[in-house]
Amino acid sequence: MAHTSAAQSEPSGSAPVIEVRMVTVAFGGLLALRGVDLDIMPGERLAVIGPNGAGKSTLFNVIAGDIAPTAGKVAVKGQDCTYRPSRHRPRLGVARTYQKARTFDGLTVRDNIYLALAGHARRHRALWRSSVDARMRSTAANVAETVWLAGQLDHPAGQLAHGQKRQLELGMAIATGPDVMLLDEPASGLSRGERERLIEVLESLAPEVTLLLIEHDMDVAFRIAQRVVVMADGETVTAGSPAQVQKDTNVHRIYLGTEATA
Amino acid sequence: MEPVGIDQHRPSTTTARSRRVEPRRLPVLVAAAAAVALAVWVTFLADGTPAGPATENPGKFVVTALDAVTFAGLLFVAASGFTLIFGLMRTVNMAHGSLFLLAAYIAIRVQEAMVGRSRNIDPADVAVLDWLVPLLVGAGVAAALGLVIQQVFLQWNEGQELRQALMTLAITVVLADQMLREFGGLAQRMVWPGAVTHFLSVMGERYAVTRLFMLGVAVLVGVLLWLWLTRTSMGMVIRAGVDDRQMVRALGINIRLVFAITFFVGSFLAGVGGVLGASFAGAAPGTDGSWLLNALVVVIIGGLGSLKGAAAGSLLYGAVVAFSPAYLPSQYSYYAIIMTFALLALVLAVRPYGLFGRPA
Repeated sequence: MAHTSAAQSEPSGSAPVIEVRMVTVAFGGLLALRGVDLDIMPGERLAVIGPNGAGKSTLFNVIAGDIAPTAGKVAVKGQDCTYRPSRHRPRLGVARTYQKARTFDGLTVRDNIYLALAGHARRHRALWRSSVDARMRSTAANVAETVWLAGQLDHPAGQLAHGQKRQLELGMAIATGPDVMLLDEPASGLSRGERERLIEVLESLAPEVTLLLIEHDMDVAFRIAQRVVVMADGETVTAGSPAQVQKDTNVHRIYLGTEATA
Repeated sequence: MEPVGIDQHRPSTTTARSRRVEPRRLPVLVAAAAAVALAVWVTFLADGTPAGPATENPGKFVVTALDAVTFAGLLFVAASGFTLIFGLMRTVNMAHGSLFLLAAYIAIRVQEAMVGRSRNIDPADVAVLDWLVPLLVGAGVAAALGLVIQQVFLQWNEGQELRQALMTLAITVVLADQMLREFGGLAQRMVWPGAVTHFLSVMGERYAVTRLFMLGVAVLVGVLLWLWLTRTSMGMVIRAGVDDRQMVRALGINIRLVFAITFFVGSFLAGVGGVLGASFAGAAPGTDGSWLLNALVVVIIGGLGSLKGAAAGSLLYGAVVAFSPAYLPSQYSYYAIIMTFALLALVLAVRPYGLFGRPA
């Protein structure tokens, strides 16, 4: 089924920023992914949805470099990254967040954002600089404002509420000015109000930023994404605009567990 | 009925990492009662002890308190490197005591060479530089050796704490034998510079300025460490690494370099502690083991990986070490060492992760 997957999008002229080719991941005898193909175009907003165990997170981790696929290929901006560890991704302009917010609880919001910036700069000299440097102060403050944390700039991250931690994590991803953002269930555990803020932040991103999100929350996925890929049993089942996917009978079957009536 | 379907899971707001361990009530009461009882004993009741009640013999009390604080300074220097390394890398560096002793021996040799005599050096002949240069050489050698140990043995076993502990333990055995061969089995002593070898009069008691000098060095070390950890980007990376090493790496920060530097600094601190210890109490085979134990006790009381904890642990441990021989009834002075372990048990009963520790 090479290159005929439903997940192929209409070519928009430019090369895909992320290419996933025939990726298979086996955990022992379990096939978490079965030959998945996926192209993500620059500036595209793509959501991957699907029930538990569909392979969404595995696909995400393969793209993020945390899991090496058993077979297949992953390329970021044309560079083969199949076996490159995750720490190389930031240099390619790829930022990610985690399913459970991973912030540095002992550090202030400002310092958390600064570390994200320092890691992106990748200069070893960044380690020797004083942390009170005016440029980083203003950048961190701007980013904090974007994610509604301006008032918490000097609070330790450990004191933030869950929703605020997610905002901070998003801020750390945004701070580096990535071209590609990978968001692992950004809306999980958020209240309705926090979800609205999240959507607002994501909608305010520059149009050239590519966004890939794995999401359980259909509301968020359908509002952010231009294209939705539905996965089940380690395969992509359907892809299309949110409206198309919402109408798709296959999707109803997957989610509601009813047998196809057709 | 709740709709069953697409995940409704909501991670709780407090994760296991961020949860502070709340002290349990009964042990807190026991600890408080013990502290009050000891204070009353020391202040009013301690008849028949070497020092006598503090109300009758305030000079002895002040001197004992000074002993506690100054010894705590030495404990802090020895333990800070250990806790720094553990906090960031989760490596229990069993070779910490060996680095301590090696730095001491080397500093003694360098001092002998600088002064030009090998036995019975008179403090009056020792200039400040004759103490400071050996200190830096000894600690520098310890730091370099620590870095080699980290690069050759530990780096590729990252995250395998038991393996690392056993490897460093093996290194300890090898180093102990080699040091015995090279430096002999006799106790040797580093000589304090003449400029600080005086006595003060504190409420009618003589008190050695060298001990206060030692405390001064310890405070300087503590302040420098604190500035490094809180005011520089590398300190920030180290504190972040204590929270979540993997995430630091995921941000694209070269944490291996930070690991190496931290091990270097931690070993350097072990060396500074060794030179202070050799000036204070001498160096001999076995000093390595006893100072590894001292460092362990301090960081277990204070909480592994916490600098604040190392300071607090040093003060508590120093207080117990200084007060128990002075304020136990004379015929029981022999049991002073037991008080150390009573302190350890009491602290762990109240806060199982140590005073400032968090679950790993």
